Amino acid sequence: MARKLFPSQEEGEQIYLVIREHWVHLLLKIFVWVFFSAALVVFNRFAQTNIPALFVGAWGQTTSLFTQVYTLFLTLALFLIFVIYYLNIQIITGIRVVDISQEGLFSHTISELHIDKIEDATSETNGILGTVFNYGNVYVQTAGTVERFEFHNVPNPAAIEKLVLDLYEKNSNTAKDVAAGA
Amino acid sequence: MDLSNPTNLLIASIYYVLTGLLAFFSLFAVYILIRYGKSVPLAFALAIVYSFFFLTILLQSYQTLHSLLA
Repeated sequence: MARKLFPSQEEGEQIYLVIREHWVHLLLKIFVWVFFSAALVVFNRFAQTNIPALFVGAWGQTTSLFTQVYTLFLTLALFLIFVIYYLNIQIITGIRVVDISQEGLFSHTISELHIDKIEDATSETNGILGTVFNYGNVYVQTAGTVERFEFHNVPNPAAIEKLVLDLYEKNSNTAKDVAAGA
Repeated sequence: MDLSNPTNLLIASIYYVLTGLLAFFSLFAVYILIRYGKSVPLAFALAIVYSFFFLTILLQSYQTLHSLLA
């Protein structure tokens, strides 16, 4: 059972691309999580040999309680890393670009930009990881005062930029054909 | 659980505040995953797996607190 990708998706609207942050960026966040998990393992190993009193009697139970609550923190953190990664998506369809942004737990934003309002699209790749793994940012500039769309750390930014411009071309050609036929 | 002792009361209070916050954020994370997730089966599967782990550890910690404050 699949839902609509975004609330205003029309019947038969062709989805060209669904983009999430590059997996390398997800991996970087997981590395930070692993660092904090390793701290717990290191604490258990070293404290058991160097401070054995921490694991005996009432102190032992307190230490156990602390490690269990810390493990709850770690479990929640890993789940949140995944949820925020999974819910942040950009969608390119035949008629619009949609940015669904989940910032933290309590902020969910959906922005849409019609392809025919696009003025300019720019892609950039920065840093060693971005160059090696081919990910970066794409900026889609609109006509008027609407803020530009920014897709951060998306895979293959040059191809996304090309796709947006190709769709713009296709859309404006269709509009010209309709106007000529009228 | 003996909460007449101020130290025990303090430990229990800190425990309940922390786990209460963690449970609230967990519940909300599961909620937004199910509400905004594009694939309902995937969202449910993840929510169940996460809830199982979280509740298991929570139960263990509650039992530890109980024996600590007995």
